[in-house]
Amino acid sequence: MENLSHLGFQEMLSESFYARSTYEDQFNIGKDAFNSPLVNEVKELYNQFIRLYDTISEFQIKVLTNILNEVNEIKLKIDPNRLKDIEHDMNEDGDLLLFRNTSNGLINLIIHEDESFAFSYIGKENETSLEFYSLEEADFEHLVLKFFSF
Amino acid sequence: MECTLQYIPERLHNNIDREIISKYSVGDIIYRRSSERELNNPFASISLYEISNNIGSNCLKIISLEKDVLYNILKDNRFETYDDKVVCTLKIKSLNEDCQYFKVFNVEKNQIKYKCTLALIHDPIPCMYPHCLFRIILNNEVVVKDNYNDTLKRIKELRTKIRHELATMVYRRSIEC
Repeated sequence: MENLSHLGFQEMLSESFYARSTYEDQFNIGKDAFNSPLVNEVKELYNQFIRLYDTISEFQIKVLTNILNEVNEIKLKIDPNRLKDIEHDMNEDGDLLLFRNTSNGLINLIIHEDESFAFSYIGKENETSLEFYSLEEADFEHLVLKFFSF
Repeated sequence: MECTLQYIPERLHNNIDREIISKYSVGDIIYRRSSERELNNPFASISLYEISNNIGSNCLKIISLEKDVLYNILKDNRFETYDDKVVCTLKIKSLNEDCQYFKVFNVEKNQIKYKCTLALIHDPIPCMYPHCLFRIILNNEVVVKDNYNDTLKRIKELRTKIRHELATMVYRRSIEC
């Protein structure tokens, strides 16, 4: 992630006629990470991952970077409330998890230590899906939009 | 072998005349000992080698009570109940034609085929007749704690498929074949 471009982005948001009132509300909440759409908050979340999960692998960092870059790109296109409910964890196999628990179901991005990562959706009623991706072939924009679509 | 844990009620002991349950019915209840972390996101917490549960009911007959799954049944542990755990109740919603839960998962990696089965098995032990588990067999080898790192853990897609299946059960509170 670039170090200085976020300052210009912040300036743009505060002057935007359409986005200003929505994002002023977000700025005033004062919560961390995905509760605020500021680019430097997303970068702080990235740093959080590195600090919290000391066994995080190089592959996981690459996948995570791609995902968080796309989150930055799509922030202005989606309901900012959907950014608030992202959680993260790491299981005993070392899989890094980004997930959302919504009224429709449970959505997980499961990033293995190497080779591949997966998208899992478990709907409250009948629908489930599980798909696997490689770093080279994944369409991260599509994946992140899907992550927020439920 | 007899149960030597004094705090376990006798109704839960595996006496010589108690039968192994080999068939289930829709509506049967399985009790699972869970954590809040697991209920929030089963992917974060489900182990693939210690999937012990209790049969709560079988073919309309009560086998155990909800709280029974919180009993500690390991002699080496120095406590009677898991006070930091909660009970997750799973209801059987569908079974195969043999009245069992049994699923097969296949993955091919580096031109090697891996076949993994997941089955609900009644596994009575001296202090807990209702004890059951989801047994995982990978290419004819039963996956247990001691061999997990050398078997299922190495095949990431397969372990994620199994975890997805178990996570679906916990999330929806149901077992479906």
